[in-house]
Amino acid sequence: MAPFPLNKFRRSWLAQRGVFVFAFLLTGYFLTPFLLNKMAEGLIRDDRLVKADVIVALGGDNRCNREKRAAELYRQGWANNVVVSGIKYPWGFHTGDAARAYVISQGVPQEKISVIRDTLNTRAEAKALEALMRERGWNSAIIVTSAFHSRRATYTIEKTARDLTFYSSPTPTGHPEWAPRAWWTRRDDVYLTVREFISWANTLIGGWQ
Amino acid sequence: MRRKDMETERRRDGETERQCDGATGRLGDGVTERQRDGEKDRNRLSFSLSLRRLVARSPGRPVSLSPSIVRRRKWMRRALISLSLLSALCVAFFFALPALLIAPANVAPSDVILHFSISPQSRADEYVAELYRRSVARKIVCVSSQVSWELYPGDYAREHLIALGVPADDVISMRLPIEPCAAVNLPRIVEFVKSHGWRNALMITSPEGSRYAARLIPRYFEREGVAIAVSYAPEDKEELTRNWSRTHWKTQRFVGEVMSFTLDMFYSECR
Repeated sequence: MAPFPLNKFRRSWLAQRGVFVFAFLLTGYFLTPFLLNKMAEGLIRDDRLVKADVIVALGGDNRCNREKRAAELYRQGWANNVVVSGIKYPWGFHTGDAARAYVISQGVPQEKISVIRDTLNTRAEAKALEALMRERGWNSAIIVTSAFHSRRATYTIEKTARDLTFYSSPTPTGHPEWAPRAWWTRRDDVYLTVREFISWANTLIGGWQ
Repeated sequence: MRRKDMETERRRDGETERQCDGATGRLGDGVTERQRDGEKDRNRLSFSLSLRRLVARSPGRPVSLSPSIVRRRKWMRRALISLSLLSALCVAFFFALPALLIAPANVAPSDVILHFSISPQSRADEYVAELYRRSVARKIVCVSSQVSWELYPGDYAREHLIALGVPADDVISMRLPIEPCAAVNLPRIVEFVKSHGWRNALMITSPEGSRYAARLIPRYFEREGVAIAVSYAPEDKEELTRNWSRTHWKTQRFVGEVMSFTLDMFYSECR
């Protein structure tokens, strides 16, 4: 069999482009999982723990893993106060009260717990937290939230209260909680990850408040 | 014959190009040839030609633009047009979300009302109580999953409906586990409905989830012989669609619904 003439190949526009596209697709195929994992890991901010004035469990976790982690940090002595957050439903119940009850059940004295109310999103939570910290004279806080939310939440809170200090200590990843590894294979993790990227874009451009 | 003519023509063109390049030193012939070419192409709306002419006319600039630059600019223009069209489509799609996601309300007399529209912004309890008073159904089931520790909004919606005048015996709270998508819980609800001997159900859902619900839910109910209609509270629709694109939680709900709808198509357990 006669070998393919190299000169002809070099001159052939279609063949060159074809090889380039094939190489690109092949690289993409093997590189995509790695990049997607890295993108998801980029959502997490996990700071080295430092003693602070308050531990803040942000709202929105229907399994109460954030509150569980906050109670755990309190028991370990990282702060002397705990703040939980929630929203009000129309018939007189508040998810913040349920979170408070749960934190008490986890061994945190009720006089050490404060509730942030009527916080429909992270920015509203940040503003309410800043007001509470200034009122109580607290200067530093450990922010506890789900791992996928940790970087954005801490960024938003730091942006709101620039002179106060915040550390992020997210909940552990893994089923049934969100996990960054191969997140695209699980329906609920895909939803949370994609929504978090959209929320990041909204936060950065200062869109919907 | 024709091919031979073309080859001759091409050869002549090549010679002319060489003349234009000054390879032969006879510049006068090249200029004449270019003028003739210009006249021939005057009526063509070619971007590259007009660009070349523009550059040729501008003082202090070299006469010709390299073909690769012309090609690159042509592609850039195409890419810009495509991007603009795509952006316009995205914007149109975004503003069409209420029309795409909210289906017409369909209220049919049933054995039971399945009340799903339980959220901090919803006012559907009053609507459900009103449907009960109009004898649209004899029983109400408030369906919900946990929103915080041991906190099921359905329990509170039940209390609220009782306060609105519905007899306590006719309102039930149904607790569901937290699942990645609604379809996973649907067989449980169908079983619950069947176990009570109900053959017709009216589902009250959130307005933005109504079209998807009307498409997905009948598949689960009707194969078990239960007829189902999907509706929502008109007040909820009015509130949700009022100034929605400027309100965070409203936009979040519409976008969230689009995401759920899209993702469910890719995961077999959610279809």
